[in-house]
Amino acid sequence: MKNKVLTWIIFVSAISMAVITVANVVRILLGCYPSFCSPEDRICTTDCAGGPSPNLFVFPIILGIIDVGLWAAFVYLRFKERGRSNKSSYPRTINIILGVFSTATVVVTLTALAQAVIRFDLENLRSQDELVTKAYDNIKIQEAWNFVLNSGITSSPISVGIVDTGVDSFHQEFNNPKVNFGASSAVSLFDRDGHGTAVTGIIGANNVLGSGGSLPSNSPQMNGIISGALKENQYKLEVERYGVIEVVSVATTTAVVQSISVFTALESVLRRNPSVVNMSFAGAKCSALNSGEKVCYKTDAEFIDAFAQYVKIFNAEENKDTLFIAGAGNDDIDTAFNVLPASLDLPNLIAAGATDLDDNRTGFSNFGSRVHVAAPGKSVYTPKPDDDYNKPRDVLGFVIGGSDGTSFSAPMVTGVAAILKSLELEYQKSTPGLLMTPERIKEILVASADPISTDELLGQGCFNQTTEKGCRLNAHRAVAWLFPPASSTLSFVTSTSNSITLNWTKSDDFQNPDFDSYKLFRSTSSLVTQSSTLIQTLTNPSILTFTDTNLTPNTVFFYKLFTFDEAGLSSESNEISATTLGVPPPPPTGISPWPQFQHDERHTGQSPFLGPTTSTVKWTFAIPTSTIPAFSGFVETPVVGPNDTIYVGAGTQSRGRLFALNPDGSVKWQSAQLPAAPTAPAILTDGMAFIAVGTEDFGTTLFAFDDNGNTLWTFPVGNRVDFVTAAPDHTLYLTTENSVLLSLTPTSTGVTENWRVMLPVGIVLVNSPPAVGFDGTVYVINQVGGVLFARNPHDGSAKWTRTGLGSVSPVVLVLGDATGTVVVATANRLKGFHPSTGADVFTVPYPTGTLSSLFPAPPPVLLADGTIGVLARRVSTNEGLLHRINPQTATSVSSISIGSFTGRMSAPVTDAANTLYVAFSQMNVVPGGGRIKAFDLANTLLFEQSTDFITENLALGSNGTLYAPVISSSTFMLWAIGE
Amino acid sequence: MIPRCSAARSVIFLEQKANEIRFHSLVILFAVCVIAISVIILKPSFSSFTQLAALKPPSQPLFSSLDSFVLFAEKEITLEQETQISSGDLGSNNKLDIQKDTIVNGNLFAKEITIDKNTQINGNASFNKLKLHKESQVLGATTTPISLPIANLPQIPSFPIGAQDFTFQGTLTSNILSSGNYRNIILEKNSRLILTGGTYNLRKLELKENSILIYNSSTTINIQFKLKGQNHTSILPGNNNLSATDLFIKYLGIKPENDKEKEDDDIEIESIMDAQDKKDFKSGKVGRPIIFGKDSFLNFKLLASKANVKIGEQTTFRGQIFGRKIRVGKSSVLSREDFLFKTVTSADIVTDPDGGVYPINTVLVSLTSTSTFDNALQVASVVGGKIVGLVASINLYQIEMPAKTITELEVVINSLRTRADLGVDGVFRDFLLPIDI
Repeated sequence: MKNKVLTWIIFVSAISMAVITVANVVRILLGCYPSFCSPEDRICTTDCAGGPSPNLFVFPIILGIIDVGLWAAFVYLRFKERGRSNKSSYPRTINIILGVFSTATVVVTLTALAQAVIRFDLENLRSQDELVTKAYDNIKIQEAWNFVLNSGITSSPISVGIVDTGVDSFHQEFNNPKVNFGASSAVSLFDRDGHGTAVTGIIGANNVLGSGGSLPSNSPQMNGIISGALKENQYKLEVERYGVIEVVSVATTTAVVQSISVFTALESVLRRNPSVVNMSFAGAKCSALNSGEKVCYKTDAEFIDAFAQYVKIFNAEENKDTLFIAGAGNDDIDTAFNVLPASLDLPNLIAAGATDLDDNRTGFSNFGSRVHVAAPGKSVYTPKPDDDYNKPRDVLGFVIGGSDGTSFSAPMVTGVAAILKSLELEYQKSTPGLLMTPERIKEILVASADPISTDELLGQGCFNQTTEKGCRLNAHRAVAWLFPPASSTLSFVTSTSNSITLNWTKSDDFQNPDFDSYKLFRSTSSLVTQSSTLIQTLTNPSILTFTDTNLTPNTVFFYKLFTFDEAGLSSESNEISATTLGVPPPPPTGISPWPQFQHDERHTGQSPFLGPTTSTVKWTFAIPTSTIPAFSGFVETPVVGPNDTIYVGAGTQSRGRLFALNPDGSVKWQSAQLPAAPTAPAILTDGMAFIAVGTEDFGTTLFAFDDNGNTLWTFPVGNRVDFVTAAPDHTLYLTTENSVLLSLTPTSTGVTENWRVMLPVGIVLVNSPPAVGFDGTVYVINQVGGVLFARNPHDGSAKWTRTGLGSVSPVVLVLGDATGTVVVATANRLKGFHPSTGADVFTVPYPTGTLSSLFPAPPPVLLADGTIGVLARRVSTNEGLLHRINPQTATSVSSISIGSFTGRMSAPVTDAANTLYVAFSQMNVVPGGGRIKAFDLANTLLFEQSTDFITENLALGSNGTLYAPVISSSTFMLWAIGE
Repeated sequence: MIPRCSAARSVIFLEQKANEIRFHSLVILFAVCVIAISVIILKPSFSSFTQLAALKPPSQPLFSSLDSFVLFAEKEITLEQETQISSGDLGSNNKLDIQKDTIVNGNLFAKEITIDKNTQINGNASFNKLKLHKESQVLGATTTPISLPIANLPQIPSFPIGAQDFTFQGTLTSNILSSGNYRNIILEKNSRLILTGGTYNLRKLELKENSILIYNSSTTINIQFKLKGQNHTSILPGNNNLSATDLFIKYLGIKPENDKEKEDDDIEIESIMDAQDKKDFKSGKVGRPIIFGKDSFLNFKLLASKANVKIGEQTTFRGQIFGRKIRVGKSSVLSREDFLFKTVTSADIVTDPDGGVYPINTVLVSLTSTSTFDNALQVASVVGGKIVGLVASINLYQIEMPAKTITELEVVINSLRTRADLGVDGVFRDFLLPIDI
C-alpha cells in the first residue's frame, strides 16, 4: 500500500514538474520572465515584464531533468507493483505520454538556448533580410554595440527626451523587457499617428535577445540604437506628445502640429532633465518653399520671432547641458535661415540630414551649412502602432516601404549621442575630468562620421574628409572616439653602431577606428614620456618598423611608441632599451677589401665598406676567348685586393688565367697561361706580393704571384682544390678532394708545408673551404655527411667533431662576437656550436614550410648588426626566402620572399650598413637569367639588378662596387655594379 | 532453490527488505527533494500574492497622493462643453461628468464616468461604470472595476483669523499685504493686491471684477468662510520662477456659530445649491461654495474638502483643485502643469492663400525675460483677448482674441509688435507645422 501511495505521489510530481517546466519554457520563448524571477520581478510577470534574470534556461533544464528522473522512478515502481503479469497497457500509455512530454521539454529548452546566443534583435532580423537592417548597418551600430559590450565598459543610466506624436507604449518593442518611459505623461504613451512610435523605436526599442529573452528566428522584433549598448533599465525615454491636429481638406486629412504645443512639449520634457532631446519636426519659411506648399511660417518676421523662442529654450542656462537633435526637414532646400529648429547655429544643437541606403542624399532632405551630420532617412525599418512595422522591401529592384524622412535620421543621431553620454564615466578613466558636454558630443559625432559624396552639403569636418560634401554617422567610430587606441608592443630588431631598428604590433583597427599616428619617442634614460625626444611620426598604420639613425655608438637608448587617435588620445607601448654597437674599426687602408671567398677566413661575407644602394652596371669585362672559348669554361668567384684590384680566374678544364683588373675594368695584368681554370684566389691580408691560386686539374698546383702577375713559386698540392683560405697569420689552409686538410706557410720565395692530415670521412671535401676561428682553430665541414670538424692549428689534430648534422651548407661561419660561435646552416635550421667544445649554442628553425635547397646551399652571412642572413628555398614552389636570425636571442627576426626561380643561389654578402645582397640565377635562361637584389635592414628592396647567369659568388670593393661572375649567351664576363 | 534453513531464509528476507528499503529510501528522498525545489521555485508566486494583497487592503484609497490630479472631487466633477484639460488627471470618488466637445489630456478615475459626444480622452479611464458616447473615445486603456475610494481628501485643521478688514482699490503699488491673520480681504473692481508670501488666515477673500491677486513667493491662504472671484479676475504668481501650486488655498467654508455676518451674494449661492446641499450647508456639513466668474486666469492649488467649487466659463486655470463637487464652466482650459496650451478647433483654422495654416483667432506673443504674467494680462487686454496657453520659461503666451479675418489678425499682430512698452519682443501666429518630416 505504501508503495502504491509513493508511486502515485511520484506520478503527480512528474506531471506537475512537466507542466511547470513547459510553462516556463513557453514563457521564456514568449519573451516573458519565468516564474522563478525574484519577488520584485514577480509583480511584473502578469504582463510579461520583469527585471533581468540571468541564465533563464538553467532552471527549465534542471526541471526537465528532474522530470525525466521522476518519470523513470514511476515506471520502475509501476512495473514492480504490477509484477510480471503486465495485465494492462495503461501504465505504458501513461509512460509514453510522460516520456514524450519530458523529452519534448528538454528538446524545446535546448533549442531555445541555442537561439539565445544571438546578441541583438537586429542581428536576428538581419538574418531574415539584410535589406531590413541596412540603414542601421550603414551607421555601423552593431559594431558600436560590440565595442561597448566587448570592452567591459560600464555605462551610466541615461535619459532621452523625445518630442513627438507620442508612442505606442503597448508595442512589443517597448515591452518584455519593458522600456522605462520615465515621467512621460499618460497622453504621450499613445500614438495614433505612428510617427512618434517609429522615432522612439529607432532610439530605444528593446533588445529581447540582449536581455536574456528569446525570439523566434522569424521575429520582426528590432532593437533601438540605445538598447544594443544599454540594458532597458539603464535608459529612460521621456516622451512628450505635442498637439496633433487633423486638418481636413477636400481631398485629404493632414495631421499637423500646433506651434505652441511644440514649445509646451519641449518645456515638459526639459523639466525631466534629459541629456539628449530628439526633435523630429521642422517648420519651414513659406518664402523658401515651392509655391504650392502652405504648411509653413507665413512671414519672415514671424519666422524670426519663432526662431527666437527656440534660441531662448536651447540657450537657457538650465538647458545648456542638454543636446538637441533636430531633423533637417524634408523640403529639399537649404536649411540655413529657412527651417526651424534645425537652422539654429548653437553648440548644443545638431541638425540631421537624411541619406538613402546607398549613402546618397535623399531627394527630399534639406541640406546646407547648417546640417551637421547625416544619417539614414530612407527605407528605415521602424515599429508602428499595434505591433506592426514599417518594413523596407525590394520590389523589382526598387526598395519601397520603411520610414522616410529626416525624422528618422535624427533619432539615429540621438541614440548614438545618448550612448556617448552614458559612457562619460568610462571616458573619464582615460581622460580624467572629461565631461560629455553637448558641444563635445556634437564634435565627436561630426568628427567621427564617414565622409560621403552627396550632391549637396550634408555635414562638414568629418573623418578624413577631403572633397566630399557629406558626413554620415558612424556609431562605431563615435563611441570609440574618446577611448585611447589599443597599445602596441614594441620590440627591438637590431642595432648597428649608429642605428637601432625597432618594430611593433599593429594597432587593432577595431579598437582604434580613428587611428591618427604612431609617435616614437626616445630617451637616454628610462621612463620615456611624450616629453622625451620625438624621433618619428608615422601616419600609416601599416608601417610597423623604424630605424633610428645617426645615433651615438655604444650607447643605451630607451624607446616607447605612442599610438594616437584622431581625438588626440594616445596609448603607450612597453618601453624597451637597446644599445648601439661599438664603433667599428675604421675601414682598413692598404689592405684587401675582399681578399678571399666570403671576404675573410671566418666567412662572414661582410665588407667593412658600404655597398651600392642603387644599381648601375658600371662596366663589364669579357674573358678573352683565348682563355675561354665560347660555351665552355668557368668564371670563378672574384676577390678584391689592395687598391681595389679585382682578381678573377677563368678558364676551362685544360687552360686558364688569372686576371687582375683595375677598378675601372681595364686589365692590370693577366697571368701566364695556366694548366686549367684557377680557383677563387686568396690574397694575404698584408696586401703584399703573395697570391695563391689553386687549379682543379689533376696534379693540382698552388701558384703564387706578385702584384705584377709574375709567378713567385708553385707548390704541388696533389688533388683537386676549390678554395684557398688565408688566415690572419698568413697561414694558408686548403682542403682537397681526397679529404686532406693542408696547412702551408707561404713566403715571397717559397712555401713550407706545416702539416697535412687525412680527415676520417672518406668522401670529397670539395666546396668546403676551411674556416679559421679567432684562436686559429680550423673548421671544415663534410657537406653530405653532415660532419663538422674542429682541428688544432698547430698540428691538425682533432679538437672536436660533431656528426649527424644532416644536409648542411659546406661553408662554416664563425661569428664575430666574443663567443666566436661556429654556425652551420642545415636544411631547415641554423645551428650554432661552441668553438671550444662543439656543444650546441643555439638552434633556430626557419619558418615552417621552408627548406634550404640541398645543393648548392649558400652559406649564411653575418650582418654588421650581429644578425645572420640565411637564404633558403621552399622546395615545393622554388620560392627563394631570406631569413634573418638573431643568434643572441636565438629567434627568427623576419622572413621574406625574394622570388621564385630554379637555379643557383650565390653566397649572400653584406656591407657596413647591413645591406644584404643576394644573387640567384634562373637555370637555362640566357641572357637575363640572373638577379641581384639588395635589401635594407627593414627588408625593403633597395634595388633589383637584372644580369645574365651568375656562375659563382659576389665580391664587394671598397668603392661600393659589387662584382659578379656572369656567363652571357656565349661570353664569360665579370660585371661591376655600383651606384 | 528455496533454502530450508529458517535462519538462512531470515537472512535472505532481511537482505530483500534492506534492498527495498534502500531503493524506497532513495525514491522518497528524491520525491522530497523535488517537492522542496518546487516549493522554493514557486515561493515567489506565493509571496507575490501576499504582497499584492498587502498593497491593497479594501479600506485604503487607490492613491495616497493627489499630486497627479488637476481636479479631484469627493462627490462629482462636471466639465462643461468645450473644456480642455491640457494636462493632469481627473478623479472623483463618485461621478465624473464630461460634456461634449471636450479634450482631456490625462487619465480619468471615478466610480461613474459619463462622457458626452465628440469628446476625446487622451489617456486611460478607470471606473466601475462608464457611459461613453459613440462619437467620443478613450484613447488609452479602460479598466474596470476600480477600487474605491480613489483618494481621500485631507481635512483642514482649524486656524485663527484676525479682526482687521482690508479693502483694496486701484492698482497702486502700495497694495501689498504681508502674511498674518486678517478678517475680510476684498479686492475692489479693477484693483490689484500683492501678497508678499507666507501664511494668511482669513475669514473671507473676495475678488471683484477685473481684480488681480498676485503672490510673490510661496503662499498659503487659509480661508474660513468665503472665497469668491467675480468675472475677469486673476490670481497670479508674481514672477515666472513661481509655480501655480506655490499658492495653496485651504478653504473650510464653514461659518463659526458666532459669525452672524451676511454676504451680499447669499441668495446667489443658495441658488446654485440643490436641496440636499442647502440642508447640509445649513447644518454645517458642507461649506459655502467657492465661485469664480468667467474669463478668469487662475493659478493656485485649492483644497476645499467640504465645499463645492465652480469655475466660470472660459477660464484659464493652472494648478490643482480638490473639492467636494467641482464644476468647470464651458470653454475653460485647465492644466496640472505650469505650461499649457489650448488645442485649436477645426472651425478656427484657415489656410492662408499667401502661405501658412493657422487658427484665425490666436496669436503667440513672446515677452522679454523680465516681464510678468501681469504684463501678459495687459497684452491680452490690449487686443481684447485672453491667455489660453503659456510657456513660462520663455515667456510665451497663447492669446485667443476675437479676430475673424486674416486682415484683422494681422492688424492685431502688427499692433502688438509695437508694444515693446509691455515687454513684447515677438509675435507670430500659432502656425500648424508638418509632422511627416
